[in-house]
Amino acid sequence: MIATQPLIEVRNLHRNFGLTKAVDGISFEVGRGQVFGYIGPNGAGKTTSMRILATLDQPSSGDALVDGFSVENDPDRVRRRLGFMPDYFGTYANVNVREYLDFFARAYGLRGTERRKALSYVMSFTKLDDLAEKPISGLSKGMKQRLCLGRTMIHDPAVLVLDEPAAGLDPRARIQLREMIRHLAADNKAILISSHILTELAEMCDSVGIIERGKLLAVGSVEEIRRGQQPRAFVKVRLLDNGPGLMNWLSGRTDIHEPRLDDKNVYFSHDGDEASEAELLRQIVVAGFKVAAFGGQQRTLEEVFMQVTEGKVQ
Amino acid sequence: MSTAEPLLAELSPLLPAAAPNAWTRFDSLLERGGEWLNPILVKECRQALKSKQFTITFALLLTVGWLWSLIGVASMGDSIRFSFDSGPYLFYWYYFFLAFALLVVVPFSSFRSLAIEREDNTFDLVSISTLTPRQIVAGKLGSSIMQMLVYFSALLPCLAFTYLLRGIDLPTIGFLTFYLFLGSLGFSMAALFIATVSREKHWQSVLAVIIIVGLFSAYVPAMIGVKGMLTFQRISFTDRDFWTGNAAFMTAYASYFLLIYLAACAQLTFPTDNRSSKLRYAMLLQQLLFSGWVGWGLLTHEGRDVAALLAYITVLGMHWGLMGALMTGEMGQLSARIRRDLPQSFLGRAAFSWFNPGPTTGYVFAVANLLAACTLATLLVLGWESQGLNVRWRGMNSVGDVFVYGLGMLSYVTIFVGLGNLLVGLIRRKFAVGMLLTMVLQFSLLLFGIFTPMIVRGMLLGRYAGYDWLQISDPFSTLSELSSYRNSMSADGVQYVLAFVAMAVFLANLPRAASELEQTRIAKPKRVLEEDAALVATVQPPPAASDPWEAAEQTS
Repeated sequence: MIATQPLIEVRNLHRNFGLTKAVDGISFEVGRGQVFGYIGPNGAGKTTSMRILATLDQPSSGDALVDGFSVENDPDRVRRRLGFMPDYFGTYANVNVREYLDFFARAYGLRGTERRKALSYVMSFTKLDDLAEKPISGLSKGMKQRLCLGRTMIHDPAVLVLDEPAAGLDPRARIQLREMIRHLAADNKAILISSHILTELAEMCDSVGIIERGKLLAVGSVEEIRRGQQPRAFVKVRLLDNGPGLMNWLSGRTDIHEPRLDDKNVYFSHDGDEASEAELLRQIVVAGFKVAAFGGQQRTLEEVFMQVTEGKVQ
Repeated sequence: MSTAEPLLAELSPLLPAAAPNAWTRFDSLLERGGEWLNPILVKECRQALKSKQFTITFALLLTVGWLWSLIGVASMGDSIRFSFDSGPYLFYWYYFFLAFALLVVVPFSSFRSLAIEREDNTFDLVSISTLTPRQIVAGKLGSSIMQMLVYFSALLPCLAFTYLLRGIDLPTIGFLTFYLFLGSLGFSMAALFIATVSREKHWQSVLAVIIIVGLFSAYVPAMIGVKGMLTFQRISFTDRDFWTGNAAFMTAYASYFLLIYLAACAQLTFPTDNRSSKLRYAMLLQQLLFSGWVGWGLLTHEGRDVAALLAYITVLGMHWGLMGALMTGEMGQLSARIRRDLPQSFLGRAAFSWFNPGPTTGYVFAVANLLAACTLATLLVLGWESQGLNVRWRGMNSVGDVFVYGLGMLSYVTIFVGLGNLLVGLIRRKFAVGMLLTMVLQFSLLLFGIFTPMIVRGMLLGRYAGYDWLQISDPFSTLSELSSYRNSMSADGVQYVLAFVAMAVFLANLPRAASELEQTRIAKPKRVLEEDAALVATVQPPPAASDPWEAAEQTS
């Protein structure tokens, strides 16, 4: 198998429930060591497509491949390579942390020393060593989330599909989770992760896909999507006075778009690169405006998400 | 900690290790054995031993056993030493309590253990592990057996104690206990299967109620039967027919157990996998076993028993009617995964295509098996007649009578299952139809056939007694007529009309069968072949050395 081949390939995936198109022609790829963020409003089709990848559901048409194996026709081979962390805990009653992980290690065919090593590694990685004998019912949400991540990686899968792993976690637990995910990516695993906390995804992911009403609206790195949505540079100028004067001065230029005055700040978008921005600043100063600050403004992932999606659900 | 302890800890690696004693070796042996136990069994046992339900049931069973020992012995007083009722009396109530745990509590726990996995969403996590559906079902069943054994351990000393009393012997205790175990195992298997039928919570609640009602409906008559057996009918262990009957029962039990086990596994199998072939092999095996027992019975009892042949046709007619209806719920389009393993040769395709999943191949499979059974029965009577043997029974006196009954049964199965299959095929052009809806449709068709003539005759014509042609759509009335009053004019010729309609329905289904059979083998994807080749390479031993120098190099 060629090492450069993507570990996750989603090809024109469709999933219909009656007349509802939960997933409508989605395609993307995730390579080794990559973290792919899956963003979309509730009911957009994220969980459905993740469940298909995890072999819990079947596509209506199209296919998804994990390490080259079809989720529809070779689910057993896919399962050996994939760890799925759903958006629910799925824990057993009357079982402690070690027994829970031990069960899943056995369920993935790990025996003897191999199983003991896997347990030891996962408990250490997820910082569950001290909780080994604690009943699952007594764990906090953050602990349970770490336990579920441990279960997901117990068989050392090459692909991890994590559905809302940070939901409901406190800031400290979220930071810990983010570090764990970066570690896993550094270990050459392909990670598909969905989250509503977009700032975190922007920091964590190599690329993202924005999904709404079953359709993938944008795919690429955060920077690529941002550029796709915002081809012009966005500039903010802070003046000591005469804001309306600068507004008047800018309106006569063809390379300036959508100027807007907000107190002493003037916002506008601008055609051109950083050099032309520097030239523009020089001209503004030469024109006699007292500039206190001048800077490019980049949209956050949240702003890009809001622009790309319409907030519609099916 | 004393001052000597750190020193001891420091020196301990230098001290010679203590030789493992027998217990340590046994423990290590168990530990190694445990590695190969079914993971579900290990998990379920860990859970069960900590669960309140298990603890309460076990404690109650122990308490009730002890209480009954005291109360039973005290109530009998001196008579316990000489009365022939003392053994059965004490035994029955121990058995009654134990049977409740085994026939009601354990099967219901089996049902809940799978149902709760769906409710708590843990089943998703188990199903995407590398555990196979067989391992899941076997693990759940193994856990039920474990519970049974623990409950047995609570009351078995009490049961053994009754052997010391008069009126009950060890074979009877063993026999009843063995059948209790079989009953519990069978009900647990059935409960597990029922738990796989639906994932919806509301259906799970309905099924739970059905199971409880069903288990009590089995438990109460079973206890009445055991009471009667202990009181009035002692088991005759020396009777040859008793053992023959038990062997026949065990065969039926084992074959249906296998069928339900495979059906439960099929329900948990990924939809694109082959869920059907193993079930069809099991159905065929059942037909062969049943035919074997009937044949053996007729031969050893100097038979010529037409009643046995009619029963044979009736049982198989009902069996294939039900199985055929179930098979019409399968999907007609084979997945790419199944098509990778389809037979390629003409002979292979001709013989094994009927075992492939598909509604119409299933229909043809059911009809063909019933046809074989009816032909066999007719040939048997033909053989008797050719030997000049008298085969009279209820007015039936010739090969023609068995043939007519067989033709009637075959026609009804062909018509009802075939019409159901056509109907399901039509609906599937617009909507998805699953197994449950298929069974509802098939059952509705049968009810329509039975009740329509009843309504027309009773409400419109005011006729209630006797048989007439209006009842041709009612298989029960018509078959009863065909088996009882062969010479009756009212049923005369009905079998030919049925056969004609059956042939028409069968022919109408044939194009669909042809389209299912047209599906041919496809090549395995390159990635699958690559992995298979890699797996083979890892398990193959290195090539044998051709000369001693090479062998030495390989060793070094």
